[in-house]
Amino acid sequence: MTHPYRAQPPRAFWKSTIAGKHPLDVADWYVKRFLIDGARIATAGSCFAQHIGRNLRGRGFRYMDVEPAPEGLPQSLRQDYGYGLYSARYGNIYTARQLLQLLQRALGRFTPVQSHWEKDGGVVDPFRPTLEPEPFGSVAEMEALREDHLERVLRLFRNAEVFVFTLGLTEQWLSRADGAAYPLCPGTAGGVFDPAEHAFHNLTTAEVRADMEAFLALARQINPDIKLILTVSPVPLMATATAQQVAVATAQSKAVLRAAAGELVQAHEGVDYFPSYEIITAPFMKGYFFEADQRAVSPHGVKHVMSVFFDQHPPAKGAGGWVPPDPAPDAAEPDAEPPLRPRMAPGVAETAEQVQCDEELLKAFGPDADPE
Amino acid sequence: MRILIVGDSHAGPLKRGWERLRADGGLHGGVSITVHPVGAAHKLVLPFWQPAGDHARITNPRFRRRLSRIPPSGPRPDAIGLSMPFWSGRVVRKMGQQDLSLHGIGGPGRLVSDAVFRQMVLADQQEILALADYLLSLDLRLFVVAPPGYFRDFSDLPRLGPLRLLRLDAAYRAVMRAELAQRAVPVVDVPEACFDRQGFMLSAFRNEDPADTHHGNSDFGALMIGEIERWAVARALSKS
Repeated sequence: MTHPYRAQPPRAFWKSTIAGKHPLDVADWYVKRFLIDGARIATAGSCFAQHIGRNLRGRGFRYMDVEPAPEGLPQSLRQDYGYGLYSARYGNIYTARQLLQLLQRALGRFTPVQSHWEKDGGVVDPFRPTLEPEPFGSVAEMEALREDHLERVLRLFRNAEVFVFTLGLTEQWLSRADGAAYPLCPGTAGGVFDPAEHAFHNLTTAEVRADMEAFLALARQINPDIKLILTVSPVPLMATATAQQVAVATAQSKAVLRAAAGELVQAHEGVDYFPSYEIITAPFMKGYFFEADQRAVSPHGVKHVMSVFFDQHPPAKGAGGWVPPDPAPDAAEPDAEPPLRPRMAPGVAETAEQVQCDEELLKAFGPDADPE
Repeated sequence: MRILIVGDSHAGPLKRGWERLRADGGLHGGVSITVHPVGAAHKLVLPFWQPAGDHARITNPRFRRRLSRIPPSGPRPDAIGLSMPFWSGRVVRKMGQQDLSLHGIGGPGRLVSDAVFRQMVLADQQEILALADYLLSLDLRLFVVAPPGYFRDFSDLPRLGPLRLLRLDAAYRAVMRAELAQRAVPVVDVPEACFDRQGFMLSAFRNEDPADTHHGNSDFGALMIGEIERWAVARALSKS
């Protein structure tokens, strides 16, 4: 007697894949749907997405960073100022609604009513309120930086060939005026919470699916071939605004996100799902990869997740470690930036100036220094 | 009143201006000025000194050939003028190389926030500010001698454009002025008459070497020595 399960590979069966196995020996988590090697890759999402971006960059993939840290800003401060976390300085994008609205704002199709939040005598951007440690000095400065940022976000979506997005949350604070989705509750990192202006909303599976469908449709209007890799963050909610206990709220949130991701993969050839959520949280993993607070994922967990991903996506031999922020300018992209140099080697003018400094010192103070 | 001036290559024109004034008999009798170089500006971003009890020991081997300690051994100066904290060239050039700009300047360039720019300036001046803090901790009186502004043929002007160059320089100096004010360190500025209407240095003060687009000449040095003498006399009068 034959039936469809007979044709299934071993990974389809619990007994051969999971039962009796040490958690670290569980294999076959993921089979890629498309190649990413050689493609321009961008990342965004909740904080777990930072690991993916860092690993893509470190392993020599063509990782996009349209807002690289300025040379001259100390390395130790770069993450504090929002650099190097994702492919642009958008901060954490926790929800599908935020992602959709980011692209809509970049395209000029949505301008939220609430433009800024006041904080500590300055202002912050409600859509990335923790971008920098200090608030901006003026609304004008914040708006200029946001406009500049959104221009680069648009270039990112125009030029990315693969976009990796980590779905993090369903709980969301929205503006009652226009539905603008904030990454953080007003009042927590700036602004003032006002129940007349701000509303809590817990996105449903249908809403997450609809937001992601709308995002994908919009992205493909400007970049028809863009592919999407979805992940769900394994990090539980820090707090819930629902009446539920936080672990119960976490379960609902993650279930919604996981279901929506699954539906998107079923509906679109160009959408893949990478199971970082399952690798960390599956019951047979016994919470092995969580830190003592049962929330933060340990470096071992991150390493294990990444090893699964890169088993399927090995970097090409000889891959370089640096990716220009944008593809080379061409006729279709007249406003593209010239690629930055990976390191600021002294230019001709700079070298000449250094020579002039030495000559001025020699002229004034005598030839008692040996040229180096 | 004994004044010691130490600095980057912009100390060169100060020294040459001082020598000319001395030869011409143009120095103020009540103020004794000596000028010593520390080293070229591009090396001042790296560690070049260490605390050594009652002085800072210069550790950069090349710098040490000209100046091994601040203050030098001998009579303690009444004030030390630093000709290092206002030269914005390193950061301005980096901004140009990366096509970066600040809010309010307009024109091309990816924007960095004022706070990020401030951190870049502080990183650029880290060693110099630490030296200033150390000398202040030794109860030495400090002041800062401003270098010339930018000349119209500055090598990076074509890349940056005049507005961006001047605004970045002003922003750099504003950051440093605030840092120095916190430390109660006064600044002897370049007189406004040395600048044209747009804010560039007058070519009359440009270096004698046609290839040198950023140092002043001995006229500029003599003018600034005069400014330092006036500042010192006024300060002495105000103290008396």
